[in-house]
Amino acid sequence: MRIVLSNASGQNIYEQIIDQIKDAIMKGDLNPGDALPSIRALARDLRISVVSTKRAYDELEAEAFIETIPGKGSFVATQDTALMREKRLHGIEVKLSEAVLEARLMGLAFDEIAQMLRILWEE
Amino acid sequence: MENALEIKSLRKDFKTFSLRDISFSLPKGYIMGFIGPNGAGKTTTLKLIMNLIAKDGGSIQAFGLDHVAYEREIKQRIGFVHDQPVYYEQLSIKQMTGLLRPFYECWDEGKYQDYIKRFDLNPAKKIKELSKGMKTKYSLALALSHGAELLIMDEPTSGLDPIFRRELLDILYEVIQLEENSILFSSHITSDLDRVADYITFLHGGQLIFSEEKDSLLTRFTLVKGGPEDLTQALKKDLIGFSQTPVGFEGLSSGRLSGTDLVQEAPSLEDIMFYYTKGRAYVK
Amino acid sequence: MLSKLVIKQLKYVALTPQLLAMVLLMPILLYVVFPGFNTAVFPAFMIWFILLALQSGEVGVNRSQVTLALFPVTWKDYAISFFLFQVVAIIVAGLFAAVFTLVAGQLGAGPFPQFILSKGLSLGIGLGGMIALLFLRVPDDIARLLAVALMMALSLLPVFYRGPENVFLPGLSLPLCLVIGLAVFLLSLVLALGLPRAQQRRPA
Repeated sequence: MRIVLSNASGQNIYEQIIDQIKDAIMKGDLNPGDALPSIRALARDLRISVVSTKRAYDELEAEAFIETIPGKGSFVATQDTALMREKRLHGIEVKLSEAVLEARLMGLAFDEIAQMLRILWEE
Repeated sequence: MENALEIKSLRKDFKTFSLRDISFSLPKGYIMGFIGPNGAGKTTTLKLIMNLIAKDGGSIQAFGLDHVAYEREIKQRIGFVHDQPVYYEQLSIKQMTGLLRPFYECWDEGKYQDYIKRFDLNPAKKIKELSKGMKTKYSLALALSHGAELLIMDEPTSGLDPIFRRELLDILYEVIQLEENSILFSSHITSDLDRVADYITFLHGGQLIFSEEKDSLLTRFTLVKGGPEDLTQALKKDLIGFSQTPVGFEGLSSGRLSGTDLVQEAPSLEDIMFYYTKGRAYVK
Repeated sequence: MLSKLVIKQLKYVALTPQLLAMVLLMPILLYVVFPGFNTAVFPAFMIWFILLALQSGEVGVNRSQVTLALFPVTWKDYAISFFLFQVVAIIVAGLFAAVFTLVAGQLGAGPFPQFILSKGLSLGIGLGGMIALLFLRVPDDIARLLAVALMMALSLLPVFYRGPENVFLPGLSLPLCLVIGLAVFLLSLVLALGLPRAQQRRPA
């Protein structure tokens, strides 16, 4: 499993962990049934606090990406790919709504924002 | 879930200084950083926990046991690293440990020897010949060798070179792999705590300013930066503290400021500590 | 736990050569070197001197703080063990004094007055108690100064003692000495444990 944290990304540490694990699961780097490191071992390896890794795992579990068996550890849950796709789409929708709201508040026209999206897409 | 440490309304009065109404808890299995400027009362609090000085009010419980009624049991389960460790200076490390060993029910000689080797300590050396850093390492070796479930350290990293400070953090991570172990350590060097601490307790002038999860602290506070003209009177009121230079200002706000395009970023623990203690009128 | 503390203190004394030298050799040295010391009351003096000398440990070290900081014991444990240690110290001092009188006797000195050892020990018990109380109530540096001052004052005893050569302290009977000694010891113990812990300075 590969997790690399960045101070510069502006994202919370635990959010970075969540995203990277989700990515790994969706790409297939992590398969259902694979064991994840314990929250304490992960905290040690990433040199962050246990509360951060715990929160990441709690959220991943709430979103059904992983499951924790007491006494055994955490494992990648069997993934429903259609459901996951839908979840991710929903996530993108939420983020886009935020941008749309901001744009409207600023009084931007649709074209301006479409332009911005094109530029970003081509980056 | 049991708390490794539970302190309620702790009070201690000295002639020129008072510790008032200190309450916080450390849940088992986590690391708490204890920060505050010099003279805030951190060492006093730690010594009160160990009953090295007698408290004037409040209650202290470790592992759910009253710290005075069960003083002996608690001291078996706590490893304490003092900020100015004092030993029988004329004795060698080996002799000093020889005096200590019989007192601890869960003494682990193998672990002790491992740490001594790892810290490069010469058992034949007399304690008075040790540098402060080596004394701290010795204290750490002792604290970790008798099965302690709670490690309390007072400024363990002062006097240690940065390389060993990292090694100390590695050791703390090892300790915390077991859920029964908890760590409380006070430090000036907040960069150590920025990463590893789960909880932060901030003491200032004998009072508790806050005690909470480090992650929520770093999201709750923001560091606001802007040009000199952006620091309006209204803004000054909203900030916990700020510092001004001819080219701009920097300040701490509890909560993100909305409706502004000033730079706002996550503060470090040092920022939080600095602006709380320096208060409002700090001008460089 | 109490016995462990006493043993620890004994080990500490054994491991500290300066202390041992002070305690054992000093009185002998004084006896041999200084003319005023060649008197019959020396064995009693020796007991009292040893009791005081055992406390002349490291300068600048606050022993109660060291013990409480390093060992998993309470202050009460420490205080009681101090008194127990004094009991052991008195016995050891008495043995040394007894050996001394035997050896000195063989070498022609003496005879020593009657009751020199028994009265010396009895009063020594009281002295032991007072020493413990002193070191438990007063900061170590001050207590040590007082102990040294007392040692020096005691050193004058063999020089200035004016009593009959055949009986030590004829004014006090042996049972009375014993009662005084025990009473002072027990009173010291009660005071040491009963009075609230001495107020500490604020940690730096």
